[in-house]
Amino acid sequence: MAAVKETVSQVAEIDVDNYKYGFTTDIEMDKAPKGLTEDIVRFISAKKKEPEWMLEWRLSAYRKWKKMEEPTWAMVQYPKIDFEDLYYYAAPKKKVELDSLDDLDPDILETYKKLGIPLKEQEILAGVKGASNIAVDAIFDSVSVVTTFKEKLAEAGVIFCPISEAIQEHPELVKKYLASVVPVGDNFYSALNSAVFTDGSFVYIPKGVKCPMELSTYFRINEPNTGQFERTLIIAEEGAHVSYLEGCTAPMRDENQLHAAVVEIIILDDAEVKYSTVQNWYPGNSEGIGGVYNFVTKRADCRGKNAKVSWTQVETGSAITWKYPSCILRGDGSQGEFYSIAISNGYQQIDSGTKMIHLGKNTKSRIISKGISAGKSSNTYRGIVSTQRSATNVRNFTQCDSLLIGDKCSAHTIPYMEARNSSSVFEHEATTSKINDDVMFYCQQRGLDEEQAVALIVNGFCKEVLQNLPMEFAVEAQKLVAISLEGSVG
Amino acid sequence: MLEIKNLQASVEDKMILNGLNLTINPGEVHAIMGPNGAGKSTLANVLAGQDAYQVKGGQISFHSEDLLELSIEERAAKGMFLSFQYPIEIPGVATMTFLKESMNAQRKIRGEDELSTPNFMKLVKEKAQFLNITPEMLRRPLNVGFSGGEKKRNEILQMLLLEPSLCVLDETDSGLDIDALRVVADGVNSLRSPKRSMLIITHYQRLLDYIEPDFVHILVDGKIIKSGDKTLALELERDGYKNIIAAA
Amino acid sequence: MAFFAAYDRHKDELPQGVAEQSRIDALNWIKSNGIPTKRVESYHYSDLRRKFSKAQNYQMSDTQISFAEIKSRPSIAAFDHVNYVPIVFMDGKLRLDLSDISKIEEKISLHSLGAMVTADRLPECLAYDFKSAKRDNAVDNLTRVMWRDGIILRIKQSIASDLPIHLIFVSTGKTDAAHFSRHSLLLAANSSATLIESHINLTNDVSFNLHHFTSMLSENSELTHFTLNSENKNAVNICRTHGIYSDGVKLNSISLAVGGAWSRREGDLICNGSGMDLKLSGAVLASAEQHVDNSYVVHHKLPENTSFQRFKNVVDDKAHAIFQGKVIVSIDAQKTDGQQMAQTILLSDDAEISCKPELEIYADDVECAHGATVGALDEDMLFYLRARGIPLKTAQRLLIHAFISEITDPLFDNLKQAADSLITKWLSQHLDN
Repeated sequence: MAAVKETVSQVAEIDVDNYKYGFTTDIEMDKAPKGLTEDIVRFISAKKKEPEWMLEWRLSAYRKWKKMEEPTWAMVQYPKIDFEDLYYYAAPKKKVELDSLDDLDPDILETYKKLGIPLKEQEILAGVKGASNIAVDAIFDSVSVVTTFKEKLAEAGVIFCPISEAIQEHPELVKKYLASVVPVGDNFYSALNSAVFTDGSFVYIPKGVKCPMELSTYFRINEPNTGQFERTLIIAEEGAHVSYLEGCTAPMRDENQLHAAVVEIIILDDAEVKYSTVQNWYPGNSEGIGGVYNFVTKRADCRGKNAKVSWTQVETGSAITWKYPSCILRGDGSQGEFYSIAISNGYQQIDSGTKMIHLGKNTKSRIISKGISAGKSSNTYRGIVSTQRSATNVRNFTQCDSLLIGDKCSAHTIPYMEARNSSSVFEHEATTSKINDDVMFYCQQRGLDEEQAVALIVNGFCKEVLQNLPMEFAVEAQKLVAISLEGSVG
Repeated sequence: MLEIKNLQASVEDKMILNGLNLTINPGEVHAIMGPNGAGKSTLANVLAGQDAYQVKGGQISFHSEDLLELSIEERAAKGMFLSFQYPIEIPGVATMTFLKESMNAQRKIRGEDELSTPNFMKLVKEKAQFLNITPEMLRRPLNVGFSGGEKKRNEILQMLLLEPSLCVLDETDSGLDIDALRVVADGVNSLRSPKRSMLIITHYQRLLDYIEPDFVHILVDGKIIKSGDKTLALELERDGYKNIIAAA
Repeated sequence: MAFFAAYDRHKDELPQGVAEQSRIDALNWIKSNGIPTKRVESYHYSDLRRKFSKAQNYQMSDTQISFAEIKSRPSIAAFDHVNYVPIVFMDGKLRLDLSDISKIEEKISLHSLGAMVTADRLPECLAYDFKSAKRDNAVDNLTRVMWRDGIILRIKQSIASDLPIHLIFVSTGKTDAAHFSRHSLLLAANSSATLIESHINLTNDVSFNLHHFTSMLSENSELTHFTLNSENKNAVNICRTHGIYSDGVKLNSISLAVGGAWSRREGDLICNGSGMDLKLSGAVLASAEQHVDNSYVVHHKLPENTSFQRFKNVVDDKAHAIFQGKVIVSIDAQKTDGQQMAQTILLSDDAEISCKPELEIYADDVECAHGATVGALDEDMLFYLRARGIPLKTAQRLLIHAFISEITDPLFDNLKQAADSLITKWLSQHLDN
């Protein structure tokens, strides 16, 4: 509770609209002209000094994308995006290639200081090595600006670098795995991302290696009218273990910014990947102006026997979120987990959930989703659990709870369950309710004000998911929960 | 009647019974006592044929037949009765329907005629009264909303109706107060006969005050480590498992 | 499309008059929207267009049959202990000659929609059905184009109709024959009624039946509606209910599907009042390659209503059961209690269930929940029963019957007995010893 109290008082001092990360950084940028053509794709590829095969790959993705239409099935509403009115490439002009921290633009460094998110990267970036045991890859607009702890990781055989670097240094791995989980034409945004992605993180954990530290990527959109398209590829070889964290923020801007990332995870026999996200893109102001459109495709493929993936997400930001971190449970005995907290306030719209595709025998999945809607927001859980005929002894447990705060918001639950053999056992529970008046009264009688009481109750409501976050994130996530609900009561 | 030789059984790949031997002759009452996890319930479930328990070795003959070759219901029809430690609740199946189905199913397997409804009703009424089971309880779905004591009395009612040749009572005394215990014991004792045997599985000596055993066995780590007459139970109550195990 | 040609061919036989414009409006709707495929979300698991493309024959049949013959059909004979008013529909046409309206109680009126329209004597409250322009449902529009007949059943104010009305839909069987009907149930304030609806075929031919029910329940009225689908293994049957409910309505709708090749019951139930209690439930026993779909939307528009959707499926062989339930709670519908429960037992490794219990909630002071389970029969229960000597198949039957009877239990005794006998029959056919 201390953390929450602190948060509440902190927030009281915060600038307009409660968004903590709503500053911009004035850095000279190198930008491609607006709009998307084959030339822009070539420009991006050239800027990244990519090999020919990569350019060809991008061009074919671009051609696919041109023929596709934006999906409209999600319960979100927004004016049609003009894809010709966006910048597809923006990079800090000074120093695209960084040799050491000293080369980092001081403005960027300042940016990280202001962020104060859990990554403690101010310390890392300031050179206080050893202060944290998290390796960080920071992506600023489209380009990876700094990756820390590379050497220490290399000792363990772990590759953790910007994907642009992996394309140069480890083309065989990239060729083998890129788009093997999320095919280029999987959906409109995955095709777009494939054509224009400029950076992202690449993680490779060799056979039998337990990654010695948490890996973390930190994303930031800075430039106006710029789409951010990162591509993350994580490969866990047989028996490998890794925990990966991802944090996102963006400045406050009146226009909407587009973020269309693709994350692919490949997990082989007995390997385990834990992927945690705290997504706090700018949600727009209290009038619903501005904010990030977050259209993300995340998918893990448990290719090996007894492979395990666990997605944990805390979604508090973005004007619109469209995101379904999924698990393909292909290997016999593999396991998928999805733990989610999705908080919407103001005019935010969230349509998020997961897919558990059971292909292997004895596969298990677990879904715990907690949606909190406040203000005038709309919050949708959408999920599929399906089994193939040959996937015997499948188990799924799903729990989706929605909490409504105030009478102007909405909460929706759209689960699909498709079972195709008699040995499958699915259990699904969902509830929607408001905060119990008696509980509120009890808290207030004990001296908490309304907002504190709500923060306390909501944190309790989310506890099962918060517990799944790595410690560094959990505290921050708890604070975020409270901040996100600022102004939701009264 | 029952002869268990070198029985080894596991549950979820964990060995529970490690070479258990036991012979029960007609008319005998045997008690098996043992600490938690010794394998008492496993023995009961293996006898009844629960699939979750795998027999890894040994033989069981029941009325000179290979018990392990028989299906669950065939064992029941041959007179094997398990009074469950945790009788399951079955919503939607009326207790009376269940009683009639099971009585007639067993009679059918044994090649006997089905009971007529009036005769069946009369029989149930008589036995139920003996066990303080109200007609209202019999109208409810099987075990649904029954208290712990009611469930155990319902088990004994079934035993009285089915008249098995071997009664296996798995922790029948657990969760019973003194009055209920006496009712249950009276029910069990009313069934004692030279042709019928009993295997009483219990943690405490208490039940044996009411149902006096001919033999007492102490089961530890899946084996019978000591056997004796009813005084062994008293000895156990006095000295505790620890001392008996140490001495054995 | 065959459908448009069929309309042109048959339109002169269909009652027109006041209905003419609505037929044209609906035809235009279908021309611009098409018959839904699985790309339309609410038909995601039931591709209506694909199914419907085989419907060829829109002619009336001239089969001669007596009511005694209909009554002797096993699934109608199951109701022998129920005293009911038989109203027979054959191939989409009301057959008063096979019905027994003499049994209809006073203050209940029953008319043929076709006759009323032809004579231009349509009650005013039904005129809306032919005027309202925006109609977005495919089954509504398909039946609006092609309906041949229907009933108008009215229960007058404060009348408690004790005798169940039994609507018996009979398909006589001409291969690929398609029949359409539209029905209205109007319960005046404080009235109550029981409706039984049975669907059967006389032959094993492929048939297509589309029925549309408009159910308008006034203040404090009470409707019990039991539906039985026991059509043949080639029959396609689609029924939609458009329910418009007022303050204090009590609805108890129970369906039992034991037959048909491909069936879908769908409904949009609108709560235009407060204090209602809507119970919508169904039992599905599906085998062979049956496809059975229950898809309902309950729309809570005003405060303080309770709705409970409860469906149980037992699916064997290669059958596919579907439940799509949706509770919409509008912004004004505070204090809504909306529940959904879908439970399924799969008996074979080729059986399939698709389940989508959906909540769409715009009001905060609500208690909404859904639950769904899929699995095989409970192993512990089976063990308990078998340990008492009950053979496996009998134990399975006992447990399935118990599972399903939770749906049919609320029926009054004789009707429950009828439902029970149909369930027992299905079980003994599919799980024999």
